[in-house]
Amino acid sequence: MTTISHIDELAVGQALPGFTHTITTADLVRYAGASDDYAPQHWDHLYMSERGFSGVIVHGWLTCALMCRAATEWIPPETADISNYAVRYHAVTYPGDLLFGGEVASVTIDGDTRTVDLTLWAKNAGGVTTTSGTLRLSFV
Amino acid sequence: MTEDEIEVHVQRLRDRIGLSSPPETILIEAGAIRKFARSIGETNPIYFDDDYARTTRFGRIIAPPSYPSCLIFSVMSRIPGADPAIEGLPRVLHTDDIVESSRPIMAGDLITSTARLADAFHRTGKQGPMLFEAIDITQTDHMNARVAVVRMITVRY
Repeated sequence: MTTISHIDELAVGQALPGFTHTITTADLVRYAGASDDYAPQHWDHLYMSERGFSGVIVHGWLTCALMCRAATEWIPPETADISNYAVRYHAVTYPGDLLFGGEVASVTIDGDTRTVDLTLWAKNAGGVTTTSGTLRLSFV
Repeated sequence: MTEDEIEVHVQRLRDRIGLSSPPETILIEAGAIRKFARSIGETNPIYFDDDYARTTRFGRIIAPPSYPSCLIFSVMSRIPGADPAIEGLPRVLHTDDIVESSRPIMAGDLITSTARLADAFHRTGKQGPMLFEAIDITQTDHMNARVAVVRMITVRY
């Protein structure tokens, strides 16, 4: 993947390269351990089925981490700092294929300020946007 | 649960807005960062390789941008009166995450996290009345400089 090293390589509307990531229940267990997030929604099938879900669901923070990765694989930390991001979960995400992408929403070059706002999304294999977000980068 | 019953929970939570957990301090180990980075499919050596990280502007291994989320669960559960479960609202999901970041968390940092109940409200959706709770987690370094503020919003229904 080509990475961005200068803000002038970016224009409003430009799409992130993005990627597809297949999430298995083993990935959820691995993420639970690595992130210290042991909520039963992500590993206890019985707990979820008793509450009307068809199975364990993907950690929101894992979806969020992968959305951030879609941004930083394109505009890496060597090039820009993330000053903020916000994500909203619209639907529960079950293990399976997830698509990650987004686009450039704004580019600001003003004196020493060089910031880029991205919009980000995660879609499931059915094309439903499960999660949307925004992320701001400040170029160094 | 009825609207009136859920409003009782909202009021009970609203009375606790501003209450904070005790602070918890943790030393950020490079191994923990590597394990986390691997679990989210990262490949940039800046998260894994000391020698490479030393050549970057950071000078040491940094953590991926959502790493502040790894330091929130213990303090969230220690806000006075925090409820692991509320009868009649068995489903708990996460609706929003908002992170303000001053700099990446890095290997060797001593990070202190404190969680505070910030808001509570209810809305009625397709599934009936829903109880929302916003918690802010502030993270500072050993110089008491702010590293990140995380807002996590959850819903029970």
